[in-house]
Amino acid sequence: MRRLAPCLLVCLLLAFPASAEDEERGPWSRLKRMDENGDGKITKDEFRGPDRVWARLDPDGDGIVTKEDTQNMRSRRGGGAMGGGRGGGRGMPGRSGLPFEKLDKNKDGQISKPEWDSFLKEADENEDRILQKEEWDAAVGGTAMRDPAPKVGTKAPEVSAKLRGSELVVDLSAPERTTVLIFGSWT
Amino acid sequence: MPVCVDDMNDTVAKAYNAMPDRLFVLKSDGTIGYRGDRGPRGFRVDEMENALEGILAAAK
Repeated sequence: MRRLAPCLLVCLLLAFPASAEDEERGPWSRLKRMDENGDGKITKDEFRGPDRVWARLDPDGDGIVTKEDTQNMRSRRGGGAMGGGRGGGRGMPGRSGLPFEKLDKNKDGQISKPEWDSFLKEADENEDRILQKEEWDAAVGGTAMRDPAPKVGTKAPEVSAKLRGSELVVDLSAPERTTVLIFGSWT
Repeated sequence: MPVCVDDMNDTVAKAYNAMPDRLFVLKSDGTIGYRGDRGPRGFRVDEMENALEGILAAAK
């Protein structure tokens, strides 16, 4: 999985910049405009946004969101550090063109580790636990077509080939012995 | 070592989506034991060899 780490790391760094300036421009900088009574806290009544966003801002359900809560939210997401998060919501591959909804299987507005692992497993066409660029492109719905070749562990296609120098035909779906198939324009 | 040859219609190559270059290993039970990526970049003989050794060892 070493090859995945840099790709994942870049995506996370782009999505969750962790500088002090970004803290000021982060969620609290927008939320504090909703603080109608100026007490430094945002209540559910003051909040003007979707309920699912409020649920992420106020995970303990006390009905109040403070600046510290928004900072803790970033920590829960593991902002900027691969493997540093403590909760769900890892991975924000939006900049790669991958729709958030494609990973959010249960539609709870978050991408959990099981959902991310499930995506990686599905994208790994040849199940070698390495994500090639072609596999990534196919998974994110890029221009590359999904590879229709038979996957490891599946039954071999029902095709036959003639034995060289003979009229005998070998059924490659029932090879009887381990068989190597070499396809090449140079052969 | 028995060698088979695909026909002029590339029937086997099409069934395996193997164009232009690709490597597979079939296990004796009729399942795919190894599937290489599409070549030329994915045509990795050493990778196939490693997989083949593992498959043969497991078959003993």
